[in-house]
Amino acid sequence: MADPAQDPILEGAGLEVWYGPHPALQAVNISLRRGELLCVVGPNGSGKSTLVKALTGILPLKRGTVQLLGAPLAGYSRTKLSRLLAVVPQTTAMLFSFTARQIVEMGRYPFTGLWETLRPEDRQRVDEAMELAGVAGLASRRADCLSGGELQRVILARALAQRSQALLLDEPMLHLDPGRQIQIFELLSSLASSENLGILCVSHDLNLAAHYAHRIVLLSRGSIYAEGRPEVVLVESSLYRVYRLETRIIPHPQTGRPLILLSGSRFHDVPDAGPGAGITERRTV
Amino acid sequence: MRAPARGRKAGMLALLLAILLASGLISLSTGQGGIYGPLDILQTLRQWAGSATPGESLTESATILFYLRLPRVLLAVLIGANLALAGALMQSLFNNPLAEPYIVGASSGASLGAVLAAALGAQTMVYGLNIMAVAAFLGALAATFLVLAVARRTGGLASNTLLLAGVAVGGLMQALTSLLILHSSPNQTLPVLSWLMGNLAYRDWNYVLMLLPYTLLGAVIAQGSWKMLNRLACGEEAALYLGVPVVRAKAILLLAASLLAASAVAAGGIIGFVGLMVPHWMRRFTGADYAVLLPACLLGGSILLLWSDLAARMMLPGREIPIGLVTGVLGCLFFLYLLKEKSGDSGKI
Repeated sequence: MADPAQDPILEGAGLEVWYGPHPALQAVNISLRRGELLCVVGPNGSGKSTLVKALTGILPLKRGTVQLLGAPLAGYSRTKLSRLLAVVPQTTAMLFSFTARQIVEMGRYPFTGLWETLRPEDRQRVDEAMELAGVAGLASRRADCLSGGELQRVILARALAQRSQALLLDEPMLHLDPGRQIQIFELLSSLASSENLGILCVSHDLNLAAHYAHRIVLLSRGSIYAEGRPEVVLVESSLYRVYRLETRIIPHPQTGRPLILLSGSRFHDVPDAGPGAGITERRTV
Repeated sequence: MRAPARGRKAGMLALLLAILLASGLISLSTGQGGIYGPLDILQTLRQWAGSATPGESLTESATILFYLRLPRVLLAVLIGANLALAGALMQSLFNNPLAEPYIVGASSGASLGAVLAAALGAQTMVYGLNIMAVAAFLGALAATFLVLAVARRTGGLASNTLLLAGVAVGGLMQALTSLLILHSSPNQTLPVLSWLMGNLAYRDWNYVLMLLPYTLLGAVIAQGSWKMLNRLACGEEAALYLGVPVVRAKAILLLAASLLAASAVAAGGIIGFVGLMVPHWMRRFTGADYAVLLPACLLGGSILLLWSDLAARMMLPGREIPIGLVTGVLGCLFFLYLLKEKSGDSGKI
């Protein structure tokens, strides 16, 4: 576990972001420490992606500050930043069909000079990253010949090749089958401890987050609803208020971590009504 | 595993270079003034080298080869290189596979400049260049800067903003061009129209010397930016995460692409489709990587324009057709071919 006294790698204080007249993030305080896997969860539109973009300096903040290694984010050049902070964005729009290896090599570009090509140690890092993400066998495959899940892992390898101190992932499990999802979480959790990386991962899978995260941040409507260890954050009443979700939470028989069971029993009380009707029904109780 | 791949790419560039040299020789020896074999060319070359002392007059064939054909051949090479490089830059810059050199108003700005110049007298020469060429160059750059200024005011250099600003500025300039053409006499508009359709006839060494620095500068900037171009092709957000200072990079690359396009338009008029066709054509051989794509585009663009110019010169006996028409037809065929090949596929070009 991370030492609470340790300085955070990445810290956002009082973050506020607006999209036009709509607030997307309000008064969010968040810190990412070395060696920890922090999961950000929350319903659609709760500000998870916005938080990632705010923390990486690609969205203008209305209020608040972001500090990386104790210095304001704005003071870093994008090149310097990309050596310390790697991001797996939610969407991947590849204009032309680079090969998987060429995509991962882009993670090493920030380490080379203007006229330089990749040095042997960069190629080594690329090999390692592809190995870790399980895409070493896809090296010469073109992006348009990769499945969604394969491309997702190639993008993860690109971020790993950056050898950053902090790694931010916006729903990296999208397109991945359950086996791959667990592999990626295992990888993230082992990287956090072995490389002392600070990892922030946006996820929709509450059980995986509960199983692997050191800490969880639960977002609701642009603000932090709860934050802390999984068993503190993932409780039935919170999930009901934030997700409008009926759950039963029991300790995992092997790990003791929270295990969330979805229970739709209330929905079935209302005959001939969709889930939406069930929710209305429940809310009026 | 990688070494042979790199060797293959070097081999491909060498092959393109060989094709370019052969095409240049063919273009040099062929023309309506007669066909010259390689031996004739060598002979005139020796004569030309020997006649370094002024006053000695050249034979007719030497005059044709060195004052008519060679500058024209070199001009085709440089214009082709410029347009293909500008197209390759613009596609990554705008994150759009259909972006082309004239996308931010270089062609409409150049047209307006040329029409204005023609109204002042199309035969005027400035520094050995036709005033239309100079005005077209200035017009193309003015349009680009106007587009940049408009786009900056309305929120950064996002690709869509730039595109919209380009369309708006282009529309205005086209309207002004049409207005000027309507209100000028036919003997004023004819040279403009012929120039607008792309033409490499009657261009002397001054045009080659005017164009060369821009080609060199553009090629150096482009090749120095291959890593940025690769990352920009992954989208703006990814490029930022991978360390590209996106706004600054876009401004520099846009400037380089605009100089390439503006100087090409100034020297040869509006020659369409080269900047769109060549990068796509070359990607089939080199893949997406800009490190290899850029030199391939430089060579491929030159080759395409050499052959287009040859067709423009030789298709009709006794007269020329505008080179812009040749590349237009080629572009149409190329995209029909792409469509046919890609139908049923993912649609990714």
